[in-house]
Amino acid sequence: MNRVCKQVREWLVMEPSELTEAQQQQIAEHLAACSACRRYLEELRRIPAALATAGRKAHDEEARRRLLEHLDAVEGVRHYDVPSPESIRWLASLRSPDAPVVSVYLDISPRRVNEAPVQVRVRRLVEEARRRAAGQVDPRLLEEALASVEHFFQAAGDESVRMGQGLALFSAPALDLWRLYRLPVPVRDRLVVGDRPEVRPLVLLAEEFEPLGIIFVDRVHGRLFRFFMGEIEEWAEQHSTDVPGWHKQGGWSQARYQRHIEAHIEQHFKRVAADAKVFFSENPIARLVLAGHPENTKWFERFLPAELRQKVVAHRPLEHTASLNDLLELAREVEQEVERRVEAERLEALFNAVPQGKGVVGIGPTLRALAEQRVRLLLVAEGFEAPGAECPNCGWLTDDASAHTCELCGTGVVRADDVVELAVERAVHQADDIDVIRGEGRDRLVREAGGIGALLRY
Amino acid sequence: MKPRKGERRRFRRFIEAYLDDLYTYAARELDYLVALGVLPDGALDPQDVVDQAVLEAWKRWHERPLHLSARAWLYGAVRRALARLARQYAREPVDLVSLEEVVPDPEADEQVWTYWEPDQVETWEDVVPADVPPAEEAALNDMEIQVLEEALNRLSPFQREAFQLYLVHDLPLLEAARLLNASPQAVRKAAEEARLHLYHALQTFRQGGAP
Repeated sequence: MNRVCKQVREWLVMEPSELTEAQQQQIAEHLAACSACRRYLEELRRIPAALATAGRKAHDEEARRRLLEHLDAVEGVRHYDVPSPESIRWLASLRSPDAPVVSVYLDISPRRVNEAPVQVRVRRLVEEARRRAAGQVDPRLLEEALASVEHFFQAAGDESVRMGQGLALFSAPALDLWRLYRLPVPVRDRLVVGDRPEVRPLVLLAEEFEPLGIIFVDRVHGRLFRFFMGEIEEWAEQHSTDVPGWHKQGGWSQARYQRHIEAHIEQHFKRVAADAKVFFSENPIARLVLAGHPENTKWFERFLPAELRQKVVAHRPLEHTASLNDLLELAREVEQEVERRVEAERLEALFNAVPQGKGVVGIGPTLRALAEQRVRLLLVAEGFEAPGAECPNCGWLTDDASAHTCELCGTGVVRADDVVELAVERAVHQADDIDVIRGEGRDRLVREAGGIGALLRY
Repeated sequence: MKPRKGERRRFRRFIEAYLDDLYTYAARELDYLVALGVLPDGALDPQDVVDQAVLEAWKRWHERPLHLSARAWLYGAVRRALARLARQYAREPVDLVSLEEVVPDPEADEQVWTYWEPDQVETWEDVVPADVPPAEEAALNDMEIQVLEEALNRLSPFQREAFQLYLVHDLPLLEAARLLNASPQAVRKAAEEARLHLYHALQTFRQGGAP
């Protein structure tokens, strides 16, 4: 080994970036000419490879099977169990003309549960439903369906309210139907017996909570998430390798020819943007948040396709040490912030429209506008209820709970404990959107508009 | 919040892909602890270590930092499980690396990462392209492997871990560094020193001397 060999071998242990271009060139030339040093380098490489191969041990097949079974058995206690759009559509398509379907919605937020235990509320709802449905459906099938619900809540006890803020349950023993969903938001208590599942509250929830996309990006990583009703999903299914999918650590041979770090980063951003395009076209989102260092997210945004760029509602600083839980927190914050912003804008539009005759406020005028099929956007304060009456013949609604006959067709009306719920049902078919106003906007809507209002088509 | 069904499927897929790697890693680490005298021979089964690690990793799946890949997270879980089990069996207190480091201390991490630029780190494998020896060539004879294993156990714990994670198990440098709570440069340097040490041990053995 001569002096040059010695020098080159010393350099080989150093980081290439610690050496000058000339030194690197010298190494390359020397390795091309000196077989001893090439062998030395190959031997260095062979050592970890040999250890990896020699030490390779296979996990016993039986043990592997046991572990995977155990993993499956470990119940990941989920806070929420949100129905997918497909599940909602499937439920909405179910028809059961002979056997009743029971749909139960319950507010299981801690506040409400403290006020009134779930079992007590369920018993009350069941008794009320039994009275209402009497004579309309087969008593045996009705009892069977109601009993399935009652037994569940009796047996589950507090377990039924441990997770989530709201609960939706669909039961029809005759159809072998039993679906339970834990929702991330409270829903109003109700129990409906009918020939189909009552999915309207779920539809409203789905409208209220639009899917949010999040892209976390830094100079070497990019990760894509879709957040919907308290749940987060990550782009992963399409990747056979690990996430993050764009991980790289330099690649000297490229760097030699493409030294500009900026070019590397831009290349990385382009790949993330291209994957985002695919991911979010398969998993549609209404809004997009870019998370990471502000300098990076601003830079990255330029590479997004126009259709995604238009959906960007926020840039949020996020450290690379953040966990998925931090990301969930961020998503919730942004979601609420955007919702409140949209609500404020809609409220403002409503109050501006009223003097011009393009909007109505208050339960009476809103019900009239619904009857006239003029409602474009219905705004309802969260939790707002009002008694009234409904015409079973033409569907006319009134907030006059003491009314006897329909003003439109003269048929005798039926008293409704909550005519607001019926108003929402009507609006589902005629309005472009229904917004349940929460937070500060809710107080304003109750105070200045009697809890409900509508923007009109004409 | 705990993972949902899709996450479970994804986690399971990772496990199936990496189970043998994790098992290999756990087995070698257990041998090391036995060689150190921390554990009696046969006290622990690598299978138990991996089982514990996998279940623990699943429970904490949503705590995984964004910058840590699932693979690195799983290696971290094995290190944690090893430390936990080793503590239970330790005949006397040992100064094992705290495996709680898998979730790095944000402040320490910041110090490490503020000066480091990923594109500045390259390896000679990258510079002098790919004469990757085929598996049969890579295989040394049993005696030579034995020499390497013994030399490996004589390294400092940090050199050994850096070499194992970065060069033997081929974790990306960034992630090996994050698991070891060190800078990438420090990990690379330690791994290269370890490699040199093993090379010299092998040469000495081939020349008939004691390694």
